[in-house]
Amino acid sequence: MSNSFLILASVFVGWQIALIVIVSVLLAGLITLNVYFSVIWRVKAERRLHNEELQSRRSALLAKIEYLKGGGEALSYQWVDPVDETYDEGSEDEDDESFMPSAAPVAADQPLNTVVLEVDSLSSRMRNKIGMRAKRFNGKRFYVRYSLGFEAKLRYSEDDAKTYYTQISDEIRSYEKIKLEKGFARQRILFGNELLGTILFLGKRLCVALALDPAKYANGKYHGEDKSDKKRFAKTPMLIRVLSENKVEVFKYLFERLADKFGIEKGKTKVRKYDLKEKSKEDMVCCGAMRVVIVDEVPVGAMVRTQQVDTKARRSVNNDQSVLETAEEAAATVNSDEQSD
Amino acid sequence: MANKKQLKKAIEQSREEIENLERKLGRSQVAIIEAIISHTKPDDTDVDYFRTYAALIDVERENLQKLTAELKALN
Repeated sequence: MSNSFLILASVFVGWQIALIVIVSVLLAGLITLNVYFSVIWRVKAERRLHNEELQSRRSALLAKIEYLKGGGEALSYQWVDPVDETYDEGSEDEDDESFMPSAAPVAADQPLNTVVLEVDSLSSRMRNKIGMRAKRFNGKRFYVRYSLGFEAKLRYSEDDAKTYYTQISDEIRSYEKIKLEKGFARQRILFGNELLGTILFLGKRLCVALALDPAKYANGKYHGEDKSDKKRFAKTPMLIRVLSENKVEVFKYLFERLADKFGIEKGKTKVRKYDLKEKSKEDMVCCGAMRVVIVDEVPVGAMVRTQQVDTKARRSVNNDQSVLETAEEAAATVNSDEQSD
Repeated sequence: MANKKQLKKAIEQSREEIENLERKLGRSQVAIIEAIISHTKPDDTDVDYFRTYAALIDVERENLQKLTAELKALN
């Protein structure tokens, strides 16, 4: 060691030796860092599956898990209690009417009642809302369903339904200590903790279900439908389909009977102003009136009909414009996006 | 997938991933079974997690089958 230092000292001057030592230390440090990072990269690198098809399916499912973990909305499943003897399959028909887009799928494997959503066509506000803000979602397309809440259905409903709703709401609020609690799927009429009724849509029809015994009013002038056999209406078995001014009067009469039952006093009816204007789909999603439910990712190169999420209000969700892409155009779009990443 | 060593490593990783996913699946499975026993509707989120993890396990099993078949062909 001392010999080599003596040799160095005889060849180089002091500052040159110092420079050599410093450069050697830096080089060793860089090599160590390089080795460290390459090990870390190999350890953390995403596993590659056997082929691209499996890889893309796995990516789509992992994206869905991330979406759920990020607080995204889960698909709504119809629950059939296997032990419930009162369940009647045929009686759910009236609830099957929906505002869902009825576009027939073009791709053979497109899930039913879904539309294709292009992430790149969404605004940043929308992407943020549905949990697809991250760059890894760029260029991706998903099969989605739009789940309309009560507010969305009300905004998309006919003007008559909106008028009836305002009249019903004003009537409810004229009673003291009654609260109209807004939920996603329905509005609940509450007196303290007591549920007096719910306002909801069955298909596209505005309905009110009251906590009255239908049998007592069956033979009277003012009556509703008996839904006591349905679990959903167990607490509010008297259903009124509000399709005309007459039905609003029926509701007012029956609600007065309900209020008398609980000793609730009626005050003065105030006519309030309601903002029930149609909003764009993006506004509906961002304010929580509509939910985007992601069903699956569109495979690369699949022939699909994409849906434009517009910012203008429109009358019916079912009349949205769509664009047909050929498999080649879709693949070219995805490939160019992947290359730019 | 070029050589036997890489295939064996990939097969081992696939098996570990399946075990990992089955553990995660178990959490939502317990919640769903509990709901069935008490005759209540299971939470939609639990059902969605269950279905997604089940689909991930299916993908992984398919991957494992293909890798095993490839290794067998090499042998």
